[in-house]
Amino acid sequence: MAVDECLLYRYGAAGDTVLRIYGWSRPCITIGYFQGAREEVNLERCERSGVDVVRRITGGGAVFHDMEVTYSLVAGRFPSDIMASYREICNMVISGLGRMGLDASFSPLNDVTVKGRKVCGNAQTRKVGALLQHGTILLDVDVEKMFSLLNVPTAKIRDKAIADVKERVAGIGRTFEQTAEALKRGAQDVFGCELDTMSLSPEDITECRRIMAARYSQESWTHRR
Amino acid sequence: MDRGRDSTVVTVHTAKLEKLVRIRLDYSRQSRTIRSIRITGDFFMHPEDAIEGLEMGLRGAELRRDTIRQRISVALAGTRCFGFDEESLAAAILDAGGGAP
Repeated sequence: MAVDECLLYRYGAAGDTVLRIYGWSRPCITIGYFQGAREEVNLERCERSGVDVVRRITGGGAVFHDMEVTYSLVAGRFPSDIMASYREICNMVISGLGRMGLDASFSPLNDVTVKGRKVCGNAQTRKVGALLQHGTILLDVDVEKMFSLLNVPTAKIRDKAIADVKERVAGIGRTFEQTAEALKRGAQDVFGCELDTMSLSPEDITECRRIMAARYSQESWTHRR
Repeated sequence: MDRGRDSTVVTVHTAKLEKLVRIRLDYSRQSRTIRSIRITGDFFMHPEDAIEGLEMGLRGAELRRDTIRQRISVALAGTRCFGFDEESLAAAILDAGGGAP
């Protein structure tokens, strides 16, 4: 999260476009900017299970990051219309999935579906004249595990919620490496560009550490709502 | 909790875009005015920090439909929201307050 925010402020604000593709060293739950941490997440169970919980600077719902490819895209130039910008960036995912033989489509506001089931969720923020979009491409889904960590009001609703999610959400059944490569190609297809690989500079890393210390490692940030 | 105060949580599924909005409301039963409010959920708001202005702007508001609508409208001027509209948010707040004229 700190790296994404650093990229937004240091590169997006300067008018650059950066696509970051990453995974998680261990499972994590991120919650949307407007969500209540305790309302959404079984914090005690997460702690027992070694699952970190962190608040995003983007809105949207809680996401259990486990078997997925995560990406963030930072851009200094983008459509001012929010829906149009979601569509344009999601087209990158759709094109990438197409390169793996998957017929995907955009599902407003912020999802990508294959055969009517969500395989990719996205969340966006705009700051300092730049855009940051977080997205996850599901490789596989363990719905029971996810719901063991998220709060659902009652056992009765839990069963229905699990059944609903199993029906509506799916993994794409590809590897991380295949998907990451396809996503890069999707970006080239949609944005008509070549991608340069970049590394974070020492200044970037310093800034990431500062953001991490000031925000993402703070209980007051995660529990601010 | 004192006798003049009520606190309630209401969960509302909004039809539009199927986002979830939760209202945590602390209000005076006597004067039917909002002491504090917390609006949470999986919605989107651009810019995001407009939520704090909205919650602040609703403090002291009487739980009347026209008052709540007006406060929301002022606080969210220039803000893009996805997952609820002003009308559904006002209705959720009034529901949390046990209904309102």
